[in-house]
Amino acid sequence: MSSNESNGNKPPRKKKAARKKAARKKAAVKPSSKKAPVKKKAAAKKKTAVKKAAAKKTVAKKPASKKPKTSNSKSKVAVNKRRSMLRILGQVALLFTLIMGGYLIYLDAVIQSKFEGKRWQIPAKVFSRPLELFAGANVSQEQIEYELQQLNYRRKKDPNTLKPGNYARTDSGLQIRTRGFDFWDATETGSNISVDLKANAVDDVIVNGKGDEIARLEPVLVGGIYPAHNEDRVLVTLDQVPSALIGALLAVEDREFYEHWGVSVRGIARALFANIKAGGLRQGGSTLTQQLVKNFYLSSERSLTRKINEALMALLLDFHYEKDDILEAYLNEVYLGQAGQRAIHGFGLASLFYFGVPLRELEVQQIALLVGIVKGASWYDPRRNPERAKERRTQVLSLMLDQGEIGQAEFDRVKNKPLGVIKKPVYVDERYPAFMNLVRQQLKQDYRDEDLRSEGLRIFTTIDPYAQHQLEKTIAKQLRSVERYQGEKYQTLQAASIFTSANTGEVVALVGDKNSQYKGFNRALRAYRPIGSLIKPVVYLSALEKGYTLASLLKDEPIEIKTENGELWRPDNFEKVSHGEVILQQALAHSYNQATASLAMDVGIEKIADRVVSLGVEKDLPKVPALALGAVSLSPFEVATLYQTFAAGGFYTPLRSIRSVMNAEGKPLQRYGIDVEKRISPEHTYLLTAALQEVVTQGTAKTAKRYLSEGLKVAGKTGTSDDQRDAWFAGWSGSYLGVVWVGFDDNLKTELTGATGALPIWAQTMAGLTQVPLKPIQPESVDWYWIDPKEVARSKPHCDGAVFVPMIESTVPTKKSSCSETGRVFNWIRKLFD
Amino acid sequence: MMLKHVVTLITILFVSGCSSLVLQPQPSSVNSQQATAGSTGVSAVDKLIAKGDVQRRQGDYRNAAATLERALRLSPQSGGAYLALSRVRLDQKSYGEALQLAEKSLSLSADSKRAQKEAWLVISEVKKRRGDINGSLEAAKKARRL
Repeated sequence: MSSNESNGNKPPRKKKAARKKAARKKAAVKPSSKKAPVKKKAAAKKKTAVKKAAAKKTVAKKPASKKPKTSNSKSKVAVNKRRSMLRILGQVALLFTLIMGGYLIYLDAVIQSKFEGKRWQIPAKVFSRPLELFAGANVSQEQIEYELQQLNYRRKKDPNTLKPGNYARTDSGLQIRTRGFDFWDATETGSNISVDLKANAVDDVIVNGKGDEIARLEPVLVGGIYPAHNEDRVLVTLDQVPSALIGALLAVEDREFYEHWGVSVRGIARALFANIKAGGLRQGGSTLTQQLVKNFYLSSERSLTRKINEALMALLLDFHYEKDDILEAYLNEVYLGQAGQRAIHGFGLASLFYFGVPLRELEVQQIALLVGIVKGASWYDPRRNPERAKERRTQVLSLMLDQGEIGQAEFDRVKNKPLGVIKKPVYVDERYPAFMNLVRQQLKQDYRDEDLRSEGLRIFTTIDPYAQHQLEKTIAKQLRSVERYQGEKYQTLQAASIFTSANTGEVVALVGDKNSQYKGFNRALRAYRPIGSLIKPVVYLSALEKGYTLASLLKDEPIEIKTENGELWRPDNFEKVSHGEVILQQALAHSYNQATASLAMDVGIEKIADRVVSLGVEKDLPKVPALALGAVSLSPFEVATLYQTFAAGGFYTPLRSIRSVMNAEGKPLQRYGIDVEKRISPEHTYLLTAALQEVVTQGTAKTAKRYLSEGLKVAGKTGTSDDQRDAWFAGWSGSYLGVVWVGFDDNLKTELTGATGALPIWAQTMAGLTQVPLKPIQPESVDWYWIDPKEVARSKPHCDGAVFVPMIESTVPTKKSSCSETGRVFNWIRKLFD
Repeated sequence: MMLKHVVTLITILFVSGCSSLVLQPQPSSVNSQQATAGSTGVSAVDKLIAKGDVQRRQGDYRNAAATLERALRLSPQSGGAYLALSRVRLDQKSYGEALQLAEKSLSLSADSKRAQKEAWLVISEVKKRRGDINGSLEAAKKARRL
């Protein structure tokens, strides 16, 4: 009963035995909650009984109406009056019974319909990818600890006494005690994990004393898809609830729960007595069943009618259902806090909300606090009113002691412990709104919005919280630095970015606004902006496929191209300088526009446009010459789709944000598997990748080495649109592909280029991630040769103008350059005289 | 007499050599091998590939695919994981996917002749089942050369 904790003289109850006894008793006399048809029959019987009673009464009325009137005698009049009074009273009573009967039937139906059906709308829960640790994994200690913090693990000093959800630093790395989790393919039980780290890689992982294992941490809960009324809960079954919590709850709220019939006369009497004694309303006499009825079915108004309804419905609920069912419903229904718009219901979620750990991990004083909060979630809010909450916790602990739920020693041990409430709710709404936006977009193809909001689906996504953190942090820092450097006008400069796993196409991080918490316009998915030179790899790939080599000579000189509408197109280089004859690789590395335009004319715009589509960007492209220089607007997501095909070795690999979906009970519903399709030959992929590595080592992106180790051998391309309105960079390492866009929403000119605006964000984010170098796999039919581009002949390293490039066997010139024929010494002498 | 034995032996060898192409019962010999080749260099991931292989042979394709995708996430450059996954798709009769995954495996297995050979055998099998006998023979030839 609400607050009937004032006395505790009763000896400790033999709770479990009593509960079992009560449950047996109920099972013997009451229909099981799962036998709906039986209940319906019972209701039907009641209806018939009421009808029969009504029929009898009607029959009984008839003789009375036929009685002759005797108006002469006063006594007879009096008798008649009395009779008619009685008759009216009888009729009123009958009417009342009928109405009450009907009303009870109505209440019964209300109770059953809600209790039998889907009781709650459970929001879908969205999880990150789990961090997996194994010998050889590229992950730093910082990243593991970041992940553990996101999971609300507590850091302890002694690695030998860890509890689930604890970790400690060791000489060689970390000791972690995991909580366990139900994954799609297996259930990971809570384990003791010892992780040895060396130079940003895992050296060894020992799981429960066994070496060479994979340890999979729990995934981080990153968001939810909520029902309109904003009630949130994590459903728990009775067997998942610590017995201490049930003991404490019953001790505090309803000691006779397993004995009473839904309403407790003793409870009401005790509350009444306590209230009279205290001279005011201090205690309520409501049982847990009544509280559940109040929350579940009734409004919060305080009226006598509602109180009567509550009592009637509690009786009916108790009549129909098992005590354990009622208790389980109560544990999930009870209101325990507020997070902005979201109402925190049930102990399952409250445990995460206040302590950041699952219910089973709660310590006794934490249980006492949660039980204490039941009385008033706002009044006893441990974050806002810690003193009051602590006092309440002590009250509950005392009651638990009185009721024998804990012993004196435990009481003394925990009573002064700090509240231990996590600073801010770990369970905030959509921590990653832009990524969640993508998840929803992909989910909508397979699920109804209503199901997402109510079925308690568990959605396992691909987001890597650490990569996301790095990207968010870098974007904020870099835009601040641009603003500082370029002035106030740049306050409204925006950025969007997407990072994926280079080989599998899983999206690991996504930012749609410089303020990563912004829930509005998602530029990563919906800002379509001219991509500038980012298109050039497609032009050069098409050329290579046509038979060009990386050493083919191109002309970088003024060029005039007549467009379909008769206008002349005269592309210019960024530096307004033409470079004359350049080899193809160089033209790409330095992003020469004139050379590219002339190459594109030879390859054919149609072909280039078709190639963009076949590489993954399925949309109608303007088939105009300027397409070759990026006169096409794509979103960062679309650019990533295009570059993913390059990064994944020429295999089109659709970007994915979801790995699998499970239902509320943990049953797998759907898995989103990897899908690959070869779109570029291994030979051409290799050549293109080598050329794009040149962009970073020699070309427009060489400033990347300020931030990144050259050993990573990243490949990429800068992009700058007309008048520098858009700055782009797209590139990849052996581990990640990243695309970054920077510009103004209203399309203003900037002073930025791909290299100065977008590349620093890309490179610094990459630098923050542990990863492997890009090592393109060289096909057998490709080798590296020294070539004399002018002579189109095989050459030697010492020869003037010789370039060292990979070539497909069939394109290697058979001719040998004059230099390579004459020999090194002769050339050296010749150079002296030259 | 001796000649008869030699002829018989040659016939048996010939028939068994062609069996993967012509007389193949389900599942194919390509897929009945004990383990997929291609060590990732990370033994924990190799274990996952082996586990995926076992699940596939037991007909538990859904979990086999989940296990192998987990393996290739942990070791994304592993030709072996793609190869093992292509075999799952082959057994599931998803020939298009099997072919593409085998191709992907080939593109990553430059350092393992055995893995390349197995990938070509999968490709050969896929082509055979799609009725492309010439393509199948061609792929089998490539496998034999390795």
